[in-house]
This record gives sequence, structure tokens and C-alpha cells, in this order.
Amino acid sequence: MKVPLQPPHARSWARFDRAALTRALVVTLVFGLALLLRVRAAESMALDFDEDDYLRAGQLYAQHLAAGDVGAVLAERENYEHPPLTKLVFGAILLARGPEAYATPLPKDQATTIHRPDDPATIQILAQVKTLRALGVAAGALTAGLVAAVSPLAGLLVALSSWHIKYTSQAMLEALPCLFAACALLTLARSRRNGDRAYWLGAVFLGLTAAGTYRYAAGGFAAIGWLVWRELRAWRERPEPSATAVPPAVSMALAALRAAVPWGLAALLAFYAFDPALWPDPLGRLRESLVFNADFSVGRAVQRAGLPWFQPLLLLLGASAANPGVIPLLLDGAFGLLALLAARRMLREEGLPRLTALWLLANLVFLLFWPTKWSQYIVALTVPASLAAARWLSDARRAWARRPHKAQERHELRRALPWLAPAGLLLLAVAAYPIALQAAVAATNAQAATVEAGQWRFWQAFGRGALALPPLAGYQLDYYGLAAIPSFSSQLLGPLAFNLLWVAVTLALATALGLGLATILNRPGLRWKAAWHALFMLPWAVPEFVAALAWQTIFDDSGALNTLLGTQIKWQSDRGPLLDLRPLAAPLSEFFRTARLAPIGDMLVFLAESLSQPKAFWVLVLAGVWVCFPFMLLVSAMALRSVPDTIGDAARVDGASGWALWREITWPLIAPRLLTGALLRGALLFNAFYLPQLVVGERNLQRVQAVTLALLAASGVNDSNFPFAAFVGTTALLAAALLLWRFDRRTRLTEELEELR
Amino acid sequence: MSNRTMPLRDQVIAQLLLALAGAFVLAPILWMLGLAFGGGIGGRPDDASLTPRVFTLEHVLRAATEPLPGTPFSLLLFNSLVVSLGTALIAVAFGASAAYAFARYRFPGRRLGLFAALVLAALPPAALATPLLIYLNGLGIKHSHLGMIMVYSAVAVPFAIWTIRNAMRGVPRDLEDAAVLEGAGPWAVFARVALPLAAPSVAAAGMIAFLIAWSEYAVAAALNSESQLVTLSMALSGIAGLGEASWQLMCATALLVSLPALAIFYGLKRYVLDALTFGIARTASRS
Repeated sequence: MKVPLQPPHARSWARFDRAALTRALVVTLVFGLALLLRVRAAESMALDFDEDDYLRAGQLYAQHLAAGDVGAVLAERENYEHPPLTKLVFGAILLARGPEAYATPLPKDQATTIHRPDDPATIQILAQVKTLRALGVAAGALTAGLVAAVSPLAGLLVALSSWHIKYTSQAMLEALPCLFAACALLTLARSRRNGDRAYWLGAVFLGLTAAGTYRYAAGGFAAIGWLVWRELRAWRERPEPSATAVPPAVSMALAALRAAVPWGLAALLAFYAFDPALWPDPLGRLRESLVFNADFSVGRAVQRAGLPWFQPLLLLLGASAANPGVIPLLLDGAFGLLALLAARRMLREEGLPRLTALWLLANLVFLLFWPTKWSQYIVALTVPASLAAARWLSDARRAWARRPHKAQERHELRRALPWLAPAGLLLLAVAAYPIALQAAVAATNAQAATVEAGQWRFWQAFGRGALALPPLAGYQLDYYGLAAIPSFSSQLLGPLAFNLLWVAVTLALATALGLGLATILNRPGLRWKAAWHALFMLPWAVPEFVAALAWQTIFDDSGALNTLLGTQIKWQSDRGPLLDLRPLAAPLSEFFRTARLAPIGDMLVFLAESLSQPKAFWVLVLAGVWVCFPFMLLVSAMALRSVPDTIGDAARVDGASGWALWREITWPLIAPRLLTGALLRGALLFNAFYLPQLVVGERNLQRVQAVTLALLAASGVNDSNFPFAAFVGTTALLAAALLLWRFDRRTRLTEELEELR
Repeated sequence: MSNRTMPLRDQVIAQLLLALAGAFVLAPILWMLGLAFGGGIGGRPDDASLTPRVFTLEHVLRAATEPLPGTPFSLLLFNSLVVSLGTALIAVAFGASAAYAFARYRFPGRRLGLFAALVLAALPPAALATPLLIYLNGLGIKHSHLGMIMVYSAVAVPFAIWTIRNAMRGVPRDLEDAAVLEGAGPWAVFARVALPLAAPSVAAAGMIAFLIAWSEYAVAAALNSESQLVTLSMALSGIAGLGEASWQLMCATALLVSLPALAIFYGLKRYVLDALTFGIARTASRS
């Protein structure tokens, strides 16, 4: 037998190569950055709601611990709606600080009165709370470091996440469960089969997570889903059992149970073990605690906040706004969006990607349906969302690095540059820069005065704000990053829904009209074809605002239509909807509210409100159809011409009727082309300015709450509400870009002909 | 095997349906014409009449002399022409050169660049009004023809890039290679081969750029408030602001503003339609 020259541990040291060293360095750096940001935030953030409640709970636990009275710890019901783990640690911290920290606990329920920053009582409490913040700071930085060990980029995103910074740097209950949930996610993903070490460790960590804060247990559904998915896949790949009495459905269900049940039981057991409050009376106390949360979620505090059911999505796409100048960048929302984009792709991959995507979706779905919408809840999404966003970014980088003809492209760029430079520079100046400026303004609280003080100063202050440096002296500008998105979005949502609905309804009707006319014009032997075609192109040839003026004079209170009908209908300003669906939705929504499914009711009300449009909407639709149908007529004509006559002839010989011919052959062939045309026309119509402004009138549109984005931005400028106007402008641009991106994917217009072949 | 004749009954039904759609198309236009050339609404609702009782050139003549009090038509026309021709010139000059690069070279980022141009081309200039207002203020060209031309270029140049690129993509590579063999430099290949062969589309691009500037007033009104710089379209919005008493004048002016647009559209119909659909109509017919 050959004896190794070196003992095993020495060899492993020799293999401690550069890659591992780099990784260790990166993890340390991410951890250090996360720690730095959190220490700074903990130092400078004001007292938040709830921090004093947890301080009081910690003080009570500290008293019991100081007295060595375990029975009192178990019996303590202060703040019983949350499991005691974090508060026990708070108690231990206070115990270490000495009796003056816990001897006189805060009086109960002072919370609502003490949140004025200059109040002496608040200042004193804040000083005490700051010692407790150390726990969250440490746990938060550890979370970032742990994630960085798996994916450095994701770790960086966790370190920079403003929601995570805010709620781990305060004495809240988020930091520990977030850390444990990350442990559960990352360990379970290493499990190869049921019952291995990672499998059990993951369950233990999930139990710990739930013992930190119940909400985070939503990740458990993801874990169980992942385990069952894996097991069923293995079950399907198993060779067919030769002779067995068990039907496949039962055998499949058994396999699923075999994967899920032991794991779930282990997690429950760990949960019980780490939640001392449950020890005396597990079911009774868990029920008490959960019932409190369920009642709270339909109680006054939540109702008064009036947050919409999709608030978690807005938070995911936004950032924390609470403390300007404390947290840099505030770009969480961008990564939230990337995470959602990546999630679908990741679901298809075994292991960590699928578990991450499931974890993200399970928590998101839970938050969407849970009626309480406090913003700290979003911290449950930070780790999976960061992992997913990092995945999206690294995929994009890899795709860019792998593109073919790299060397040749670089060579051709040198030859193309002189031709591109003039237009490129011009467009940089008149388009790209203004668009960037617009996006930057949307991320601040810029006022007319700040903007007019010059752009250099603006960008300086913007940069300082983005890096959370001390502000520019004598220049009023707060940086909000994406933090204003939740509040802006709630103002934008109505107009956005109106705008999209208008475009959709208008284009559907315009396509129907255009296709109908094209079908007639396409018939062989029709007379005066060219003349009709020329006539139908007329609305396209007329400038948009002239068309809008014409329709305005028709639908005006004393316009053509009222003159013709002899009526006094207020087509433009009447608030009454032409078709009112709201009375239908109200009882349904009430029903869902009583059934504790308020979000579903809210969705129904939202839908009914979107569809119950005032007369002005239909006036706009009519004018829009007039303007758009020539485009759709042309697209339809081209599409019909591309249907080969021979197919129809062959079908007719086989005895197909005209309608069957149209439905089975013509429509499937032309529908994609119609959709392509509608996408292009829709992007143009979405940003139409004169139609809504003139046909219904700016003032009337506001009154009937039927504003389009173009007008909303304009009125924002008029009111000197620059950030909001800029936000609306940016959103409209992105929406148009999205429609055009779909258009380009269908037509492949931006690709070269050679690539097409 | 389609026969070239159509049964009389079908012919009549088809013509009736087309006439119905034609009435929808013509209704607002006839109503405007009626207002421009007739009595129409005289300011009070009870005066209203659908059919003009009299035929008069009064409003059209006023529109063609002094549509807005204190601003002669000639000044409005001059301003409109300066801005529109300036935009057209910039769009063709800058657009054609960039379009050549997009049609001929495969450089990194070309698809992203084309896509960005597509988005810009699909925007109304009003979508850029907010930031441009802030920006041009800083450059000191807010109240000037140049400021307006710059704003319209942001939309017109990308449009021209698309239009001309689509046309140049159809120019056979062999022709250019032959020119190179004859000793032509890059500039000569562009100016004497690619550009002439794409001439109709270049013209259409210029005309569309002209129309973008010609029929726009939202940005123009936001950018300058000086009476010396008012264009025809801005005058129209000014008249519209005077209330319904001025409807006849407004319609008469709208008619005058529309004439060049109609002439360009119907004069260069094939190329303009091709440009306005970014070539999808042609792509559809080709395949």
C-alpha cells in the first residue's frame, strides 16, 4: 500500500489556491461593506415604530434572566404576537449591559406618542435601542457575507439592499429570521437526496427561521415544493416496476409524501425547540399568537393604512424612503425587477436556482395575500431576490461575452464610427442626455429653483445623495433613488390603466375595421379600389392635432353631435360611466372581505373601476379608431396579400366553405402580422398627446379621472411637480419601449438580412 | 384562378359597406370644411346648423392673412418653414450617414442602437418636453428656432435613420464592391452609389422630418413664448384657446396647415407609408 507523502491536511493547504483566496477576500469585502453600511445606518437612523416595544420586551426578559427565573421567561406574554427568539437575545444584550439598562422597563404602549425626534423621552429611548441594534447589524452583515460565499454579486446586492439595511440596522425582528432563512435556503439547496445532512440541516434552519418571525416560514412552502418536485422527477425516471399492485397515482403521491413529510416534521420540531414561548402549551399559545396576527390584519391599524394588495410588489420595485442621506444608491427596485425576470428561467433548473425562484415566489405570493402590508415584510424577499438578480446579471454578461464575430465587429466599429458620430453625438445631446436627466430628476425631490440653479450643481448634489455623502451646502436636494416609486405608482396606476385600456380597446376596434375593409378591398373585381384606398388613408395623412380638433368640435357641448341630436349631452365632462360595473363588484368584494380574502375583493373592485369608464373614454376611443384604422387597414391588406392564392384554391376544391376557409387558413396566417402592426401602432398611440388633450380637453380629463400619461407628465410640469412629471415621463418611455421590444422580437427588424436567413 | 368579375349583388353590397366607412372617414373632415367655408356655428349653440347656410371665404382669407391678432400669416409661415426645413435638413444629413453605417457595418451594439432609434422615432416630441425644457434653458437656446429644431431632431433623426437604413439595406452589395474596384473611396461609395439608389426614401425621410416639425405645437409652445417665433401650428393652438367663437377661423387655419401634409403624403405615398410602418408593410409583402 502506497503511503501518501504528505498528511492529508497539509495537502489541502497546498491546494488552497488563488481562486479560493480570491473568494475569501471577496466574501470579506462584502461582509465589511455590509457591516459598514449597517453600522452607519444604526448610528444615524431615527427611532422607528415597534423598536420601543421590542426594547420593553427585551427589558422584561433581561429581568427574568437576571433573576435566573426560567419559569418567568416561559410565562412572559409581553409582545406575544411574535415568537421570543430575537427578544430573548435583546434581553441577553441588556443583561450584559448591566441593571441600569433593564431595571426600569419602558411603560407599555408608549409607542404612539414618542416618535418626535426632538422629544427628550424619544432621545433617551433611542440611546437604549441603539445597543440592541448591534444584533441586527451583525446578523445583517453575516447574511450578506454568507450569500457572497455562494454568489459574490448576490452578496453585494444584499449588502446594498436598502430594505435590508434599514430593517437589520434597527432593533426589529427581521435580521435573525432573514439570516436563518438564508441558511435554510443555501443548505437545503446542497441536498442531493432525501435524508442527507443538508436535508435535515435545512429543516432545522427553517424551524429557527419561523421561531424568529412566523412570516418567514413561507419559505417552507418553497422548500417542500422543491423537495416534492425533485422526488416526482426521480419517480418519473425510475424504471417501470414490473408487477405491482399500487396504481401510479398512489405511488406518486406516496413518493411526494416521503419527500415532504419527514422534512416538514423536522422543521416543526425545530420550530418548537427554538420557540420557548410554546413549551408550556404548544397549540394553545401558537393559536393565540396567530389569531392576534390574523385579527390585526383585518383590524383598524391596517385598514387605516389603506395600502393596496399589490403593495409588496411596489416595495419590491422601490426602495426604502425613510431616511434620506443614510443609505446609498437606493436601487433595490431595479434588482427586484431583474429578479422577477430571472425567476421564470430559474424555475426550470435543478438545485439552487429552482429553490431560489420558488422561495422568492412563495414569499411574494404570501405577502400579496396577507392583508397587513408593512414595509419591513419585504425583507423576506431580499436574499432570494438578490440571488435571482445576480443570476440575471451574470447570464447577461455571459451572453455578451459569447457573442459571435467579436474581433470582426470591433474592426467594423472603427470603420462605422465616422458615419455614426454626427447623428450619435446629436442624439446624445438632444435625446439620451435629456432622458437621463429626466430619470435623475425622478429620483430626487427637485424643485423649479433647484433645477434652474444649473445642471452641474444638480448632478453634483445628485451624486452626493446617491453615495449618501453629506449634502451640498446651500443646495436643497434630497436623493430618493427608487424609493418614491411606491407613492408615485399609486398616483400613476389609474392613468396607466386608463391609457392601456384606451390603447387596447381602440386598436381592437381599429384592427376589426381595418381588416374588414381590407377584406372587401381585396376581393377581385371590385370597382374603384384605388379611390377607396386613397380615401381611407385620409385620416393618416391629416396631422394628428388637426384630426383631434375636428373631433373636438364634434363632441363639444355645442358641437356637431349635440346639434344633430338636439341634445345637451356632456360628452367630454360627464363623470357618469357609459357602462357601470361597480355596483356589481361591491357586494362581491364585501363577500370576500368577510371571508378574510380581502385582496381578491380589492382586485375585483379595481377591475370594475377600470372598466367603468366615463363617456369621454368612448369619445377618445372613437377618435382613436379614426386615426388608427388606416394603419391597420394597410397592415391587413399586406397580410392578406401574403396569403398565397393557391392554398385557398386548393381548399375550395376540397369543398371548404368561405367561413371555414377564412377561419382555418386566412386568419391563422394573418393574425401574427396584425398583432405586429397593432404593437407598433399601439406604441405610437400610447404616447399620443393631442388626441386626449384636444378631443376631451385637459381639464375635462382630470375631472373624469381619465388622464393619459402624456397629459399627466405635462400637468406635472405645469404644477412644477418635477419629480412626478419626470417619473411619469420615464414610465411612459419604458412602456413604449416594452411594446416596441415585443414588436422587434416579432419582426426582427433590427437584425441584418444575413442573420435572418 | 380568381375571376376578374364580381356578381352585381356583391358589388353593390361591397360598395355600400365601403361608403359607410367612407362616411365615417369624411364626417369630421366635412364638418371642418363646413365650418371653414360656411356660417356653421356662430358662437351660440342655438345658432348652430349642420349644413353651412352660406358659402364664404372670409375665414380662409383671414387665416391666410392674419389668423392671430397681431401676427401676420407670413411671419407664421416663415417660422414654420425655418423650423421644418431645418429639421428636415438635419434629419437627412445626420440620418443618412448613420443609416449607412447601420446598413453596411456589423459593429457591436448596432441592434441596441437601432432599437433606441426605434423607440425615439415612436415618441412624440412632447414626450421629451419635460427634460428638454430644463436642459435648453441651461444652454440659452430656449427661445430660438435652433432650440425647436434640436427638439424635433431628437425624433426626426431616428426616423430618418430607420427609413434610409431600410432602403440602403436593399442596395446590392455587389454594386458597392464594383465601385470600390473602380477606385472609389468610402465617401464616393456612399455619395454616388448608396445614396442615389436610396433617393426616394431619403426624400421621404426628409419630408417626414419636415412634417414632424410642421405639425407640432406642444413642445414649441412650452419652449418659447415669444410672439416672433410663433409657428403656424402654434397659432392654431392659440386660436383653439380663444373658445368656440373662433371655430371657423380655427378650421380654416387647420385646413391651411394640413395642405402640405396631404400633398407630401399623397405625393410620395408609397415611400411615406413604407417609412411610417418602419418597413413592416414591405417585409410582409416580400415574404
